[in-house]
Amino acid sequence: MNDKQIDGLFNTAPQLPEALAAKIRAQIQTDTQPVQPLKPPAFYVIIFAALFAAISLAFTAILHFKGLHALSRNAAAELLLLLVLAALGTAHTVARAMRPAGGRLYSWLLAAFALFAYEALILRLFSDYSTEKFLHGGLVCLSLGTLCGIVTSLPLWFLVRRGFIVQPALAGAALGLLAGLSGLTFLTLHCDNLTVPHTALWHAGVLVVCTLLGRMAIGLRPK
Amino acid sequence: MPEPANPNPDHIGADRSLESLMAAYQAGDAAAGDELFRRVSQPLYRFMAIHSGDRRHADDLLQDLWLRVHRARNTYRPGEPVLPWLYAIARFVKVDAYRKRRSERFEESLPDGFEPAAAPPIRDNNLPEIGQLLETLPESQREVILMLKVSGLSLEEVAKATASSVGSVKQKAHRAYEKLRATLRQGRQTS
Repeated sequence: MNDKQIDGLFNTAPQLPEALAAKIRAQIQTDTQPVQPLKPPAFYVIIFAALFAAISLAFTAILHFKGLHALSRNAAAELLLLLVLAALGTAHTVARAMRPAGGRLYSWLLAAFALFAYEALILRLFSDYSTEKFLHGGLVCLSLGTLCGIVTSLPLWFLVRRGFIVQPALAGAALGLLAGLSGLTFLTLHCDNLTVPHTALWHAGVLVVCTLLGRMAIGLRPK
Repeated sequence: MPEPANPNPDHIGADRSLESLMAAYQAGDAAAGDELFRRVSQPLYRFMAIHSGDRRHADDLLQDLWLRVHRARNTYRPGEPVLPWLYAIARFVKVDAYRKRRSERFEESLPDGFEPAAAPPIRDNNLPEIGQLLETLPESQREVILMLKVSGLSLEEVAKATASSVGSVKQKAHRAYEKLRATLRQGRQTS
């Protein structure tokens, strides 16, 4: 059997019943209100990035910029540049996730990149390996960072709900990652514990926790 | 058995592109929505029917799909191709329905304390031959072949709808045809 004969088999596919067509037509004709199309992805990238910056800065402003004062100028610039770039990339992914056929979402790849790049930068910038108040201080940072992430995720969810998500797991992970980056940025600006074990585990842990929370929370959205 | 739909080629708006119909549908033009439905529902139904292997289930899927398309019509971006957008939603509806059915089967099996290893798909006995043939293909290849051959999408449109690259779609289609040829050859030899 050649390809043309195989193609011929596809013509045996079933036909749409007229009764079903009429039923669906009637259903969709009940509400034909005009709708406002979604804004271009760039619009949402700007809004998401603005939320990321505003909420992490607001948290830091409330709890003081101790981390920023403790960091050297170069270290602060490198860390913040990485976080802002990762946030922009993630915001772009979330914006694309709002549209069906918006393209492939590289949420897990982005999360892995953000995590490994952050860890690598921590190892390069910091040299103090002491573990004083490791558990208590760490849990406080993890909780505060996650709280900041959750607060960031609320307006993000509100905006994303206007879209129609066809890759829910990836969209949820991307949204959680963006929220986690907000929490991590807040900790970078706020926390003055610049030891490697603390930042590499507890600060970076905020990214992991928020990404997984976002992935799990996507099932709770209204359909 | 219900009669198949008989599309009317003289229908108003038949010369308009799907993109302009979709944009008008977004703007509240009911006639454009109706024309869009008429133009794309037949291939969508065939896509759903062959994929699900059950016409009753395909009926439900198509209804669910149009309900979601109607609700999500704001997510279509005017000027962009309509078919990838529609088929991306169709894929989601299909996967969502599959998950629901699987969890329903699982829940139903719990009170008896018996859980089948793999529930057999619900079928009717007028399944076209092509449906059985496509069952031999992996899910991703079947989907690509259905979009290309049954729904008539281009390689680029399938790539967009499935969030993959054109190269990947070509490769899947090529492998699917190889497998279909092999299956048909095998069938002939055994008969």
